[in-house]
Amino acid sequence: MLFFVVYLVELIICFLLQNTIFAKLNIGGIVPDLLIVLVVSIAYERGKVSGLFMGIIAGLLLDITQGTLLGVYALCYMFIGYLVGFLAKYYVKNDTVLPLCMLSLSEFTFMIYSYITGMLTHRRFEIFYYIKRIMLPKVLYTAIVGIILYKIFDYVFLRVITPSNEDE
Amino acid sequence: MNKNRFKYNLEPRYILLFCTIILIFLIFLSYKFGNLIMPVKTGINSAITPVQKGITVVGKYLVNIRDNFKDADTLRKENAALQADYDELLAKYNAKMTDSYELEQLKALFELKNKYSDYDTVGAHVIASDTIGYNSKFTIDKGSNDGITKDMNVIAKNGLVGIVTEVGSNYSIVRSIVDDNSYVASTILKASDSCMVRGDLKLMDEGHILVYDIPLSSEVANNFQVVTSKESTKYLPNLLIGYISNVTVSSDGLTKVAYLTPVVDFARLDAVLVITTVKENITEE
Repeated sequence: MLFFVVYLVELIICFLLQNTIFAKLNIGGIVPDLLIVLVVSIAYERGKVSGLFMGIIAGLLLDITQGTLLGVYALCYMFIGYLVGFLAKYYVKNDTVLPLCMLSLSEFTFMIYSYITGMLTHRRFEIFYYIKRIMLPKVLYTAIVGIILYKIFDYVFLRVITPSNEDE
Repeated sequence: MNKNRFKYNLEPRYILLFCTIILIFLIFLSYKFGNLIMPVKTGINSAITPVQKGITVVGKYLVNIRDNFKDADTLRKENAALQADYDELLAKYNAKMTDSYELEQLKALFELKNKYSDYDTVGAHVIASDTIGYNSKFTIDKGSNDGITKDMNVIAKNGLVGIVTEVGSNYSIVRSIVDDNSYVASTILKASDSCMVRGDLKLMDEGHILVYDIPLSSEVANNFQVVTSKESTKYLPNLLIGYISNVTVSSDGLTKVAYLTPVVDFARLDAVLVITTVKENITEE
């Protein structure tokens, strides 16, 4: 049960930080996506099913607070969690390269996805402008913040969650 | 032990398939019956609001620190550049003095006309903003408990900020006029022509949004004031939006388009006023 509580706390902290402090510390309106860092790191550490469920919960939280339709972001986060989960078998302690690549790729996918779903109401078609102005900066900002955050999650995973599993 | 407990009987791909169907159903449900799901949404948001409010205070403190660093770095460079600009501008300023005196007087007259004191307002603070990146929406710390309802206009101390799109018991979500989905029916003062103001995040990078559907015959020029129109269905009349610049004829040659510089500083929005009068009530009276 411990891992469940730990992940729930991580989720709430990420969500609140993203919505408040990081939203204030935005760079040109760009706010890093901490929830995706959590989804990617859990999927990478624990595998497909954990990633999938964390994706749904994180996505629904985003839908509730910022989306217009429930489930739109959850759908994307779920697939990201599931797909990143395939790489769980390559999990190595203290590795940063693979999670960083996964994180950037996932964030870019999410931004393209939210751009396309947003189009239903937006009617803005200058995709290259949005890639340059919003998507790439957001991927970069998320990657920089994310790698620090991932280190913390990884530390918690190795020191708190893994030992407790072995004890039992 | 945990591992045994979490040995899934189902194949992961079936779980994926199952969850995908559920989520798609949920999307459909919230599209078709948005009002049914709204209480869940506002309930969760209301629970989060007090925490967000607290953390935002810390956020503001951090922003101040960041700005201080930025200031120290750029201050020296800016100073050198400003000195050069100053000499040049001083010469220009003297020349423009006479014109601007007249302009100031006219502006003061218009400001009198645009007094917002007729409306009852509720003060509120911005506690969270959109984080996806494509929208310009934000959350304020007042909700239906304070008498706020959907479609109320939101102003800062000098002009129109946006409109309330969602209300919970202790929070509301405001869509600002620079959001891509924002359209405001407006009037250009002095020229008294009707026009539409459309939010545009791309133009907003340069500090503008778009004004279109200005009649071709209009004598609109730079620095004309734009206010909300009487014809607008959701916005109260005569709220100042901003100033016109860069007037051109539209590509089809039938109307004029222009840029509008909002009077509100959206990058540093903190305290806002919500007007508790809704447009429909006025027309009924």
